Amino acid sequence: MVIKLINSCVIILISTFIGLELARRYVARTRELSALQGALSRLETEILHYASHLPEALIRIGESVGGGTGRLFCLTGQTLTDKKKFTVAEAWSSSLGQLKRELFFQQEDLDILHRFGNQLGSSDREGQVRFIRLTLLQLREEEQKARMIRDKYEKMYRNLGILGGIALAILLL
Amino acid sequence: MSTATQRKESALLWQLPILEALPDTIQKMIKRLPIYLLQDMEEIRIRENRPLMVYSNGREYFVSQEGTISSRRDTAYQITADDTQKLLQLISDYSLYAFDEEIRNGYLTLRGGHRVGMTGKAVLEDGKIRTMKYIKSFNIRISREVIGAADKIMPYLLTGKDICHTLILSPPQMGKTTLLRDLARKISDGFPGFQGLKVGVVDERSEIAGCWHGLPQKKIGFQTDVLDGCPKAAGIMMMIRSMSPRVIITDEIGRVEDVAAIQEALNAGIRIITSAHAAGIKDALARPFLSSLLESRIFERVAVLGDTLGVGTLEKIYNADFSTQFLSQPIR
Repeated sequence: MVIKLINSCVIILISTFIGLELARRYVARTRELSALQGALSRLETEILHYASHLPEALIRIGESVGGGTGRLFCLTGQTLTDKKKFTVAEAWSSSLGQLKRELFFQQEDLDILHRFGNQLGSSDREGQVRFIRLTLLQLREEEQKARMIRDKYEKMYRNLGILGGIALAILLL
Repeated sequence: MSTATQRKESALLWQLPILEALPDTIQKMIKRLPIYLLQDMEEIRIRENRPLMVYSNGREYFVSQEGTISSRRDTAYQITADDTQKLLQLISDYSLYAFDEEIRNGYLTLRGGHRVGMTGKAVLEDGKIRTMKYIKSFNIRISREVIGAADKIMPYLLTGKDICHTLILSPPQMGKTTLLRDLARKISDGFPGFQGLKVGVVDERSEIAGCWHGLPQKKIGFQTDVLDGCPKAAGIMMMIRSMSPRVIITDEIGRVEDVAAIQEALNAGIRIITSAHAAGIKDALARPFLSSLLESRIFERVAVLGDTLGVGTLEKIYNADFSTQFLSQPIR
């Protein structure tokens, strides 16, 4: 009986944990999307007002933003400084590839980001600013969608985790 | 270290900043070129879909993929679209947007003061060039400073403890800028019998001091201030107001407003050393702008450069009204 009780507890715990983990993905995605917008706004300022060079601007912003987005910026800036022979687009997409696991981005977010990387640094100031603003707009839309999805699924997965665990435990008792 | 090896090494100093800016493919080929070509390298020509070329020892060569040279076009390496795209990103430090003004002017300056000229399709706005796109042709010009280039001319420009207002006339590629640069260094640092003076360089095309991120990449003297990329007339006025130079050096005057600014400097008691495109006095007098400038007798010395004894030969040095010519024969 004691063993059965312990088993049930373990099942409930694990299932709760899985539920929380699944719910966390939705939260993390919205958080990352909003951090990304902040970082891009700062990049716009760096380009428009200070004409900072891209590698140093990326590293500076990355260090102050932190999180997955910060690492994405830092890694890209670092790649450009170290491996002189990468293009910006190559460095950006290689960083995105390396950080895929910690960024929680969905395919649609990644599509926007890859398009952004292709243009980064390779046009005049006006063009860059226009492109950053366009990307910001698209990201804002994605963030709104992500929020709606989060509201829907976050609670659901969390409850599903606990309730599913309890149901399974009862069945096995 | 012997002076010969020293000279050899300084002749190769250009390589680092330029190789850094080249895409891997082209960098490898240039590195493998024979040393005598590298020492005298003047230009590297990169044009998309066309052969890679270098200009050295006074002539051009095609460069093959293996880094060998030939005079035959079909053996040369063909520049790809990937090469030009990478080159553009590398020379602009991945930040083309930070070089709007430079792109508009068609060149930018690398570390070390080397210039990269570019052509593409100009984008116009109200009849003025707004920017350039499809940049497909690059001319990387290796700039060398010749320390001592001004040694020969210096005695003729001195009056006691002061410097004469001087105009240097020269056809293109005859060492005008090199001479101005070394004059700036000598006047600023001083030399036996002459105490250095404060010098202001208005470097509209970033050629005299070769500034990179605001720092002069050439030896232009320890008390020389540089206004980089600044239009001459406005720059001369700024210099007068803010830096109190004793001598102002600037390159290639040619606009009416330049003369007004020079006049202003004269009134402030500042010495002017500048240059203009002309093959000689006759040629200069035939041009409306230069002839009026010469006839105003502003310049106490007018020096003419040529190449009778090689690039940078001093052909003639006149006084203000051309009544005296100081040189009995060209010197170099």
